[in-house]
Amino acid sequence: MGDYMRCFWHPVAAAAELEPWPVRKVRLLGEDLALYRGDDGSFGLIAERCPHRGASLACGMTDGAGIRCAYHGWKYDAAGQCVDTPAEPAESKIKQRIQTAGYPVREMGGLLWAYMGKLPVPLLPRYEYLVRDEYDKDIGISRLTCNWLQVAENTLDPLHIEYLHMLYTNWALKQLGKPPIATRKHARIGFDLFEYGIIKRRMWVGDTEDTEEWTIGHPQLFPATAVVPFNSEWVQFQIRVPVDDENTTIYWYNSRLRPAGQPQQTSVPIWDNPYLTPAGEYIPQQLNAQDMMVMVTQGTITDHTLEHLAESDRGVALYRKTLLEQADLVARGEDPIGVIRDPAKNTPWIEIPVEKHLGYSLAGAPASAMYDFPDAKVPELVRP
Amino acid sequence: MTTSDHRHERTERLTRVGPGTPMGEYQRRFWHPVAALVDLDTWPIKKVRLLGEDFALFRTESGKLGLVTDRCPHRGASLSCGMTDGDGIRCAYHGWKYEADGQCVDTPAEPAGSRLKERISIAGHPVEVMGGLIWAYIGPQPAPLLPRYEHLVIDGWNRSTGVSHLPCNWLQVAENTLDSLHVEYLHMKFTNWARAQRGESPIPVRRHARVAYEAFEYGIVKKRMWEGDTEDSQEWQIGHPLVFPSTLLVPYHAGWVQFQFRVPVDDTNTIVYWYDVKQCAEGETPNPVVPIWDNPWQTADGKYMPEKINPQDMMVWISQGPITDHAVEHLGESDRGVSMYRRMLLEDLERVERGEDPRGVIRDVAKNTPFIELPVEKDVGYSLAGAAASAMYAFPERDGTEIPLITAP
Repeated sequence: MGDYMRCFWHPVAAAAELEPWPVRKVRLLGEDLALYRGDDGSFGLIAERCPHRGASLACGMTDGAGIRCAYHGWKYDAAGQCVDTPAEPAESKIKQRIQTAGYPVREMGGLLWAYMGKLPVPLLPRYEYLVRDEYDKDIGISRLTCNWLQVAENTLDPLHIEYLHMLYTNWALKQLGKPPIATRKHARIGFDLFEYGIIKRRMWVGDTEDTEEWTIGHPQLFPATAVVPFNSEWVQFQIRVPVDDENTTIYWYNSRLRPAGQPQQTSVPIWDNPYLTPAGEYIPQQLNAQDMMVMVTQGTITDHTLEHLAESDRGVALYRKTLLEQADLVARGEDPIGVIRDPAKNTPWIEIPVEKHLGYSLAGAPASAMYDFPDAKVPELVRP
Repeated sequence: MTTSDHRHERTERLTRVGPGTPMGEYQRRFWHPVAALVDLDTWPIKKVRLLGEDFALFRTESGKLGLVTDRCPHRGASLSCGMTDGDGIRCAYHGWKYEADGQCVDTPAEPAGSRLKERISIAGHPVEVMGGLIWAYIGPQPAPLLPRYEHLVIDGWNRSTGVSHLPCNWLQVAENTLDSLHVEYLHMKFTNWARAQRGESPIPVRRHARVAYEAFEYGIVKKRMWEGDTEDSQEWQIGHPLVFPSTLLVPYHAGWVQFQFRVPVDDTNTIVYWYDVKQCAEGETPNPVVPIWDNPWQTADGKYMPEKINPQDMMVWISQGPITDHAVEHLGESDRGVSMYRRMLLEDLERVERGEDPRGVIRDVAKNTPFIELPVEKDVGYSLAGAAASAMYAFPERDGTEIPLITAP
């Protein structure tokens, strides 16, 4: 799975995380790295450990387009080549033999994306709501102590909305003495493979086959990014990044149509989206925190042999089976779904299917500390 | 096998409490407190860990309690993050519902005709409320009686409980009770050394003349005689007990006793309930609820509290390490209570392995009704007054005669 994951670009940080300090330690796919913005504004991502005496380059200092180790000043360029060993005699040629790993890193949509796989480097996919200027963006960040798959496969599980986000929300709101939110029931669910991943579709009891949720749905972009709509002007990417086997970062990437007359954003703000209170407790009435609660409580790496997958889990089963097929493709030297090399497809952006109207609303429950689920008129069904 | 190997193996036998271990099987013959009733007041579900297993403890809307395996067999989310419904608990993720006996009774996301739930069940264990605590039994059926110890159940007394979470094995905590001499050193001499560091005046100190340990029906009675006292002191005549497997009953003075329930959370974690029972004053009505308070062993910035009596004990238990290895100890003559306790525990492990009930398991209703009296002296011949016992209370002044102040050599 590490080889498969290395076929893709992953966000390693938000650009705003290099303010005010231009060097930062990041961890991606089990490797420790130093991410920095050079004095010339270019970005670099190289192995964290200085080959000299092992100090952390993430504790180092930028110089020009490169980074110097804080300990003895050895300097590396963004490709990982050592270009200066200032404590050595003037005639020393040791730097020519010293090299560490350097990975391509690029900024797009306020995120810094890294590619750690084999050359040639594929294109950084320009998904529509990440790059369209008429949308304002902001990024929530969550760091979870569990494997990435538990986080990602939640997208292929439409039924959990009905239980975790409706029934459980109302049970939790009741404990807190607050009024319930509207609930609905699923009539049908569907999953379709498409060029960039799997599309999930749903139909609620009482709706017909011509709803956008059934005719369009929304996707899981492979390997692990959900694109979900809140309403016709607000889309959220949930980008899941495998930090290592037992840690996952989620970027909750909001993209909202800017109201007419508002000035364009100059930077993309970030905010913390925790799943625990400062006292270390789960937050049962918040929608994002609910998801993270069930992801984390499955354990660091949930063992599928202990599970009992059922008919309603067929999206999860499809996702796992497809991932295994994709990993086989990579083992044979082929590109998996979601790796893009054709500039024509990537320009000006890649359109992705996302319904604009939803047949449910979780309004009344906060989605996170930063925003509520938007209001919408939906028929309320009271459960037996 | 060397003596050291043998002692190490015996340590493992005495300390490990997970399922299938000798001590784990022994501990599973007893009821253990897993929470205070008030713990479920603000939120009716709580995750608890007992003997190395994770559980969801819940109270339904009708007030019934349940204790089931924490992991939902569907996709592995925690049932302790779930919701109560009727007589059961539902997983928050997809709503699978379990009754208190662990049987899955609803899989609402599945097609109407699905019979999946019939094949799905998890462990469900008996729980009972007594003395404001919730007690659980996770051993083999038939479950024994929940012991009704006098001061847990009699009317006319007020109850409250401190709780401490310790990162060490339960045996280090429990065997402290069979170590009479530590009162003289840890609680007297060390207290005074710590007080001197802070520029505070010393508390009275005494010395042990004799110590004795006697097996009785429910455990071991510990007796002591101070230098200068006679054999007719209550401390020598009556003493106070360690009730097996690991509960101390200790008097502070007439009208105030404290149970210390030591609950093995797992091999390297222990919860102590410092359960105070105080006689009501004339005309006073007992508390309708048993309140709970935090009795920490470290300050907010992570330091031990050398001048407080309860944190002193917790300091020496924890600093022995997560599981102290008996192979590297050097037990002396003054440790014979500790040796006796370990030896009796080993005998009881063998009883359980032979299929017999160990000491302290009660199945005779007549013995348990109206309550079980335990030997406990009413008057003690020493006082730690002047030193704080915990954040919540000081050691009480002793009634009667002055305690002779002996300056340590």
